Amino acid sequence: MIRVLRIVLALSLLFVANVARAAAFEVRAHADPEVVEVGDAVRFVLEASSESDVPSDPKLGAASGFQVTGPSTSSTQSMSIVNGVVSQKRGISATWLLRATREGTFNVGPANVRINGEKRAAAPVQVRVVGKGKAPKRRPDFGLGGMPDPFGQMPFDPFGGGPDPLKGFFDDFRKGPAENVVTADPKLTLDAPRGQGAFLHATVDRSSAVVGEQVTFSVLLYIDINEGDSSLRDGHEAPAADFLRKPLADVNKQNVVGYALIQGRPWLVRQIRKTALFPIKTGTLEIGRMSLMLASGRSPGLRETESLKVNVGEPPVKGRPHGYSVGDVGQFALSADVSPREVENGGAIAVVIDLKGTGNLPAQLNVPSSDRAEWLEPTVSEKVGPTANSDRFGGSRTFTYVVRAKQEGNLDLGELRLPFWNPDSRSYGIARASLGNVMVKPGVGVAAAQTKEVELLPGLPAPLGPTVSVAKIALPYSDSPLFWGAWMMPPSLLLAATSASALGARLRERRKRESASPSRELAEKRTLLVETARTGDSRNIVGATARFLEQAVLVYAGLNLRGLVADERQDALESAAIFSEDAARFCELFDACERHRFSPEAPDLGTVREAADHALVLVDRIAKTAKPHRPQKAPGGPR
Amino acid sequence: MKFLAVVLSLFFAISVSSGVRAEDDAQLHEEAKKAIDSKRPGEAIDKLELLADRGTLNATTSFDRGRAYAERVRTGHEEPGDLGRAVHGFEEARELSHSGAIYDNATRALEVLRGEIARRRARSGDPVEMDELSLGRSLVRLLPQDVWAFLAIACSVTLTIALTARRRVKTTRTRTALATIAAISLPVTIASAGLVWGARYDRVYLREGIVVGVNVKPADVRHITIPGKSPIAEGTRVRTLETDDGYVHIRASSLNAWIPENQVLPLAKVAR
Repeated sequence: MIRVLRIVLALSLLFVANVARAAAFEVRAHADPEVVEVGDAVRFVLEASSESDVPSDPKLGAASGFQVTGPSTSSTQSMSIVNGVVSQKRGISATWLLRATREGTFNVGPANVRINGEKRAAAPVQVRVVGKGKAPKRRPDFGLGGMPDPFGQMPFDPFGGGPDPLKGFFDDFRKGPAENVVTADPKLTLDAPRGQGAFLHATVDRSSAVVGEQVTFSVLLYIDINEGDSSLRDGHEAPAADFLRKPLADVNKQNVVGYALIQGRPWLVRQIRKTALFPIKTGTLEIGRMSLMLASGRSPGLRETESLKVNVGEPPVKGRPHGYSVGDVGQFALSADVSPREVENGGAIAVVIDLKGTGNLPAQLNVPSSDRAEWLEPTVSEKVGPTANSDRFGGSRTFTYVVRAKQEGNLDLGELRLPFWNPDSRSYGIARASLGNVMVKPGVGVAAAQTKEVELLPGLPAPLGPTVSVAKIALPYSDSPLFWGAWMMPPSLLLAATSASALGARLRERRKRESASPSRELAEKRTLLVETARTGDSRNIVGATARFLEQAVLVYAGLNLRGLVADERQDALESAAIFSEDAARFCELFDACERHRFSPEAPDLGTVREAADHALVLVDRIAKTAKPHRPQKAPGGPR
Repeated sequence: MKFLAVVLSLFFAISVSSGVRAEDDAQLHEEAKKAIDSKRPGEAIDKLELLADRGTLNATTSFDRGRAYAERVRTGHEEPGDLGRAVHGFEEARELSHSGAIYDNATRALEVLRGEIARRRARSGDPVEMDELSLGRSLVRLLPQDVWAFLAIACSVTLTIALTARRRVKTTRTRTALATIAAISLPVTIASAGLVWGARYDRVYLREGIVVGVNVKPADVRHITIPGKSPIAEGTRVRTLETDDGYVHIRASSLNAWIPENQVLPLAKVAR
């Protein structure tokens, strides 16, 4: 029993080892097509992959009946995703081109590669070579799967409706198998994903170029295979103001360019833009960010590309041909057709120039000018766009000129030349087209043609030449700051004078106001009294005497006699110490003066003079013993 | 002694090289003139542009450069922008001469060129009126700066005399007359001084250019073409304000827009 179990266990181990070994590498070969005509080519592809070692040294094996070219080898990376578990294989793909030389059925191979030091072979492939015209017609290619896209033909496609420019991004997700086996392109691999779920990545095919040289700008959309469907909108193109922009791919179509493995996660990569950019100036030129809005899915939000920089210079000056115009970069060819070759004087000759090539085709040509022929403005038609392999921009531009013959005889139209810089060979080239000769015969339209000529820009003055001297321009005098001084001075002086005058008047007034005081007034009234006493007007003398006395009381006692009734005067004066001795005499004199002032009859002159003298003496006596009274300021009152 | 010898040698070398350079420039200019005379404007343009690249700046080279471009138009080998470049040459000649025969001839040539531009625009259905200087700038350029300065000072003096006399005169009629003189002199002197300032500012600080593109479409600040706006005529003289990302902000009387930088040629002016 144990023995039987051991045998079963050994067989099981052997089976598992075989299975593991089978899973460790894979080598297969195929030919396309398998039936060809003599002289046609067959593409023979050997694909080998291994989980442990990178296959190497591919060999075709036997290939009798074919002329062999190749191989061209590329590396591959494949992922197997089963229930979310990713396993990787690395491999190579070797392609040979076999050109059939004779009829018959041939076994090609077995092709082999070296894996882990051992030679591993694929099964031989049978190819049948038939005579001319006997090969079956090939089925049209529907794309990756070899079948037409069922979604593309659905009349009510729920995913593709509307004007969404990003239509069809997620077609691959609709297939939805539990297991996918895809091949990762190492060129698409990045160090790290630039976003979650989906992100944009921009590339240029070169980081330095010359003015006019094509820089291919691509925008790739990476979609995490595990994240699933989403919708994208609000696409904003990458700004590139310093470039001429020509599309290389339809913006409404997004092609799957491959798969990428980034940090162990598989990503589907779609190309959403491919544009030829032609720099229009030198310097470090920037290509801005393209942005899209991821509207749904697990990680919605804005997605942006990187901004890129391209260093742009000019083609070398050394070896630059005469007439080269900066920006003419590419590979161009010119051809010309001139008809008729015989024309009457004044007649028209059609010159059709066809410019073909890759690059940004020049929009105009320098035609050979001549006094004997007049070149009219050309009509231009063009057929430009991406070339066959869709990486280069180019095409053809046709310039149709009408040339008018102006003189009879043999007219040499000369040669058309277009110098250009070829970025591939890094050298200058010149596209040429000889226009040949046209025989111009005398014609009836000569006189008419000549008289019809209208002079352009009539009345232009003659050129000057270097002999005409130009007087040096003197700067205006008014540039000097002195101008502003001279302008401001008169009103400023007037203003200053007026201000000074006003200020003087104010100062005088202030001085006068400050000089007015009771003592000064007393002195003035004394002088007035003395002067009045010399006159013969007794009433004036009485008045002056009374005012003098009032002022004296105000100065020495601080009292206003007018504010006191007659009976109170003496008491008030006596209470002021200085008047204690003379109060009665003072009151007597004052009362006398008042009486005389208001009496209907004029007082006696002698009496009033005497009273005036007494008043002067009395006040003088008081002045000797007393100091002028200073009025007390009210506490807290205004100053 | 050795130092003195070195300095003298350097001075001599610089003098000789500048003399040679001047002769070379004059010869180039003479050849350009002959090329214009013999209907070879392309050659003349090459030589005159080379002179400009070398930094030669005077009214005669600018005049002849404008004349060479105009000649290329005349001879039927016109290239886009030739009329604008011709206008630029003559405008620059006017700026650098300010008066005299060159100024008058350049003015005459400009009339011819602008007439041709207007004719072409009329033929293509574009407005014939060209955006020119604003009213203020036209006023500034009505008279020379020094004339405005003289007027400003004269009115300033008149104002002062009138005000002074008015204080001293008692007669009502005379006082009224003096007040009227003062009332007129005050705004005139202020306006004239403002025009002096404006003229100097224009000459020293204003940057101007000539549109050399044919029917340039004006764009907004985002550099997007303004819909419905007529294209700017070739040869239009505009004020250039600022540049941004290959575009220049221009302004003329009714125009305030951005256009590609290479569509405007800056005008050289007399230094401060």
